[in-house]
Amino acid sequence: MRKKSSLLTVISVVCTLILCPLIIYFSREFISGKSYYLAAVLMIICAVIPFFVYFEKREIKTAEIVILAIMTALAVASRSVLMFLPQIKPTAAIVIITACAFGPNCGFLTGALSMFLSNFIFGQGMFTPFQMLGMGLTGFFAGLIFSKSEKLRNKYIISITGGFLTFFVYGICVDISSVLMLTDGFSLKNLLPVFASGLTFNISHCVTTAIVLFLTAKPMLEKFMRLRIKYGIFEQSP
Amino acid sequence: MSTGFRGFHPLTGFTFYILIFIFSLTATHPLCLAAVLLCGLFYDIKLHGKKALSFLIKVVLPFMLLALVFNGIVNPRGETQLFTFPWGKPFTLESAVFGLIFSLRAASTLIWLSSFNEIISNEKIIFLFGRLSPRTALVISMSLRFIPLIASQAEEINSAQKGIGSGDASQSFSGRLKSGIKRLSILVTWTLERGIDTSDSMTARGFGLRKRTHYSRYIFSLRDAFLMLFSVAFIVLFILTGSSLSCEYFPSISIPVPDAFSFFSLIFFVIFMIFPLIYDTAEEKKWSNF
Amino acid sequence: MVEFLIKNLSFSYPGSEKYALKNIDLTINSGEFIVISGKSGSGKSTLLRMLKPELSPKGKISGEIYFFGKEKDSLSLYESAEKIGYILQNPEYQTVTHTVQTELSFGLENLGIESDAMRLRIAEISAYFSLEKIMDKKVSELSGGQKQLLCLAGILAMHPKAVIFDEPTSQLDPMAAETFLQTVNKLCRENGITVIISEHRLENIIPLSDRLIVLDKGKIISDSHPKMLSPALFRENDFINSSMPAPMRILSHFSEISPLPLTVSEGRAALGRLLGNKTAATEKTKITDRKTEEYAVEASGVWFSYDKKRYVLNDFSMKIPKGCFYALLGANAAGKTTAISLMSGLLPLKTGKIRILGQDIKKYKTSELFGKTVAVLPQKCESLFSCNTLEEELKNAVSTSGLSKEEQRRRVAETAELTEITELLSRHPYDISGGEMQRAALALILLKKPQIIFMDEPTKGTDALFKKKYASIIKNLCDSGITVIAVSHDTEFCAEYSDRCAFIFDGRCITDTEPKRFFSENFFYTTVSNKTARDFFPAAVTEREVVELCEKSLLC
Repeated sequence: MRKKSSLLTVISVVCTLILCPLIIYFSREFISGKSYYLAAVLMIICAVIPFFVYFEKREIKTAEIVILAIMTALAVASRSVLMFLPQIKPTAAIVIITACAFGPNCGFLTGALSMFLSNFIFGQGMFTPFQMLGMGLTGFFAGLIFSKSEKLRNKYIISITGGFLTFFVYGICVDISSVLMLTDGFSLKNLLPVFASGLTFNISHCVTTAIVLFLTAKPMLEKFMRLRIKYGIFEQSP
Repeated sequence: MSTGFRGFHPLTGFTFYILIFIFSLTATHPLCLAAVLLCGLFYDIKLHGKKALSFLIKVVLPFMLLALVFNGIVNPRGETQLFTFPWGKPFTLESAVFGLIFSLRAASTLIWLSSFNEIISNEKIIFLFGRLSPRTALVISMSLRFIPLIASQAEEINSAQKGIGSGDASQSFSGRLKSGIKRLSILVTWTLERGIDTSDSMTARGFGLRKRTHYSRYIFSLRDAFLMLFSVAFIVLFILTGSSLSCEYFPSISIPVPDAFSFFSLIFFVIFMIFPLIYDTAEEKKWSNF
Repeated sequence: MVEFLIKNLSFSYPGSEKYALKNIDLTINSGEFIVISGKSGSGKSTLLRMLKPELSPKGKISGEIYFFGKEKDSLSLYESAEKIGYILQNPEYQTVTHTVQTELSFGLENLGIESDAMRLRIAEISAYFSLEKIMDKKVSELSGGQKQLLCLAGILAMHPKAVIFDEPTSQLDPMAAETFLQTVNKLCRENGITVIISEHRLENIIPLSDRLIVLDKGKIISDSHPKMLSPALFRENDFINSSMPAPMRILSHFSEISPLPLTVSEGRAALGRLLGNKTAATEKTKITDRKTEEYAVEASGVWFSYDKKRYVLNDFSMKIPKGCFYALLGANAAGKTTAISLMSGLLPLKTGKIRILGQDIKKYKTSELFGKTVAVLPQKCESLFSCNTLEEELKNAVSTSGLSKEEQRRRVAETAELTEITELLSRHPYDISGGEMQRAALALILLKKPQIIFMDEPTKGTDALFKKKYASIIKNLCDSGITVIAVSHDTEFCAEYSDRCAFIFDGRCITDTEPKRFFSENFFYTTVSNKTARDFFPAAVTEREVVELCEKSLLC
């Protein structure tokens, strides 16, 4: 375990300290057109690598893989059970709950993969990497905040934090992608009009996520507790 | 196995598309952009027929327009002022031209993405993922198994809940919300509780005992090697022509006229980018005489 | 060659004093076809899982198990994965990956087989099962039976010596179940693969088996060729008495007959020997058409199509009397489920007329119709449960009824009593057996006090004892004035317990009569008891009737 986590550290250091500056340099100097979109995608790939390497290398139980796959699929498909509530998209809420129960890494993977798989159905688009990063980070931060401490797992705190995360982390990631797709160069001035036009969507996404979290977080976490006990998975939290 | 460009090894096909995307996202010369856009468009029409045109009109053109307007309004850079907006910002020739260039770039990326989604099927993406991160590929494959299952369970739940008189579309929002949350909870419970069978089935078939091998139906054949060589040549020429085909738009527009070498390279780029179209057409001819 | 050898095995689950398995001694030879049976909770699954080390439950264990001559601890997990296949109940959840091809290669990849060897094995197995055409299909596009066969194919590609099946056909319809069992039989007979199988529906499987092992309360109470099953056991053990194939059950009443007949033809021959020429016993078939003016559901001239190409129902008409247990029979895709979906209002009625309790279905408000007037018991009961205990579930269901707390508690207790789930109330809905879950679902529906209950395959995946219990619950409901309408494939169940049977074919109701007449007039679509005894007592439909008539004949 120890060896693997040190390997992980090396990889993350390489990614963040060497690869990212290299990409920035490369995109400034070498790519004549200064495509910020391309540079951003490359940086996202660098940022994502450590998570996948960690997932690939760590000891894992079969049941853990199954639960990860199920939660990802639920994040993608559970909307079909809410046919008569088109406003509500439970994806972010499910990612956040998964993160609360199984930690930041699981949260990241569920988030990133669920966005990847949603695009599987309709075909990949230019915003896929940004959605993956956005939802992945939403799960990651939720896991960071809630997975360790039982005390914070209060439905008010979870729903407020969850709404906040979907608004700022996911919302901003997607807005940045729109800016990069529309123009080169990224500045606050460019971001503002895009952000303003996406505001209603972001607010409704944030509010519905918070509502779903408020109503489901507690019972769902109880369900996970039962699974832990009944099937003996996740005995030691990663 | 599919015929035509689809039949290439996923790695070859993927490399091809990645190069095209990098090219279309970084090219600044109008000739380069026109080439990549037209090649992509022709291939997309070949693959999708009328749908490609409706995609062009419904998605690509509005997006181009948006990019054009956005660049013109938000980017008040450049020297040649054409007029001033009522709110005092100048509108410059440079930003208009750049907006056009940028919208071409976005359009060609969108069009190539459309054929990418057709050629690089989900199976191929999973195959490529499997080489990089087998565990992730497995999770993706499992999730793809669960998604239709969950959708069908959702249908069952919806009709079962209707059948016992719990929640319908005519209720108030809070009533529907309550019923919706209940359904969500049923769905999650159902999938997670039964998912233990999946775990058992995996364990029973020896999952996790040793390093997994990888079964693939794809074969890396001679034509793949050929296309790979072609791609390497593309990269080399792309790097070599980097500066001679690069244009500046700010503060003033400078579009270099291509010299002999970059002209030759440009022709090579076109051949490379039109390759899928030529290959598919040739294959169709070859296999249609029976 | 001995493949599995169990010596004096006892096992109890953690935190339980009771033995799940007690003093089991068992030898299983290579190439045998073994059926393990017993009522639910008798330890069948536990025993099967003991034979597959990876899936063996944790708990207190004593005794020894030898696999292929090796002790349990010296058998590597790799060997166990390779040599012993294990098929579970649920075809949906035991398929792991998303395409047929990846599912086939899944086990081989786990074993670390090289790519070329894997290609050969996959080619071989897909030829054997003729899977080439569906190789690129998504698993979700396959039918339940195909999924189960795919799982089997995936396991066989690993070249196992033995395959263990834990109720493999309980989620399949009868045709698919038949195909599956025939495939299993072929594997055992032609390829010498040891088959160890547990089943809830024993009629089809017992004639195929070499050995029948019966478990009761964790002990083996019988281990013999099914023909040699002691007739005394039929009188002592209610599970055997109700679960064995009808010819066995009928002839077990006349204990001088041993070996017992397993199939219809053997049963007929045995009856012939037993009765000789004494079949003259006169039987009066009193068929009294019940005259009821009141109908719970009346449908007339109903047409329906899902895809604007083909009518699923054409000019469908049906009258269901109030307070009876009405069964809809028919082949797959005959329109049975569509018919009840329309009659219950789940599908919108486009052409035709349906009256519920005398009133046009279109005049009902949705909130009046569902729950209070009609209720539908879904085929998959999982679609009803979300709470952590059954009690919570039931309490939630009445909490919106507007009754007082005391009233609510009384109604929950009453309903639990009626559906015989009182002892299960503290359990998690997923910790109880399929039959118990079915009853709990029924309880949930009854809390809404519906007048008419529609059921889709209520006996699917449940054993004979559960059916008996369930039938008595339905009878109680009908006596209290509730109409029960069920779609079923289960001829025996309908013959024994229903009040009327309708046969649906090609989108229309072909016959609609009392079960006795219905089944005695049919030639193929009838009960096994009737098929067995038809030459002697053409009007006898159920086992009970045949036995009574036999006894009468023997007396005279």
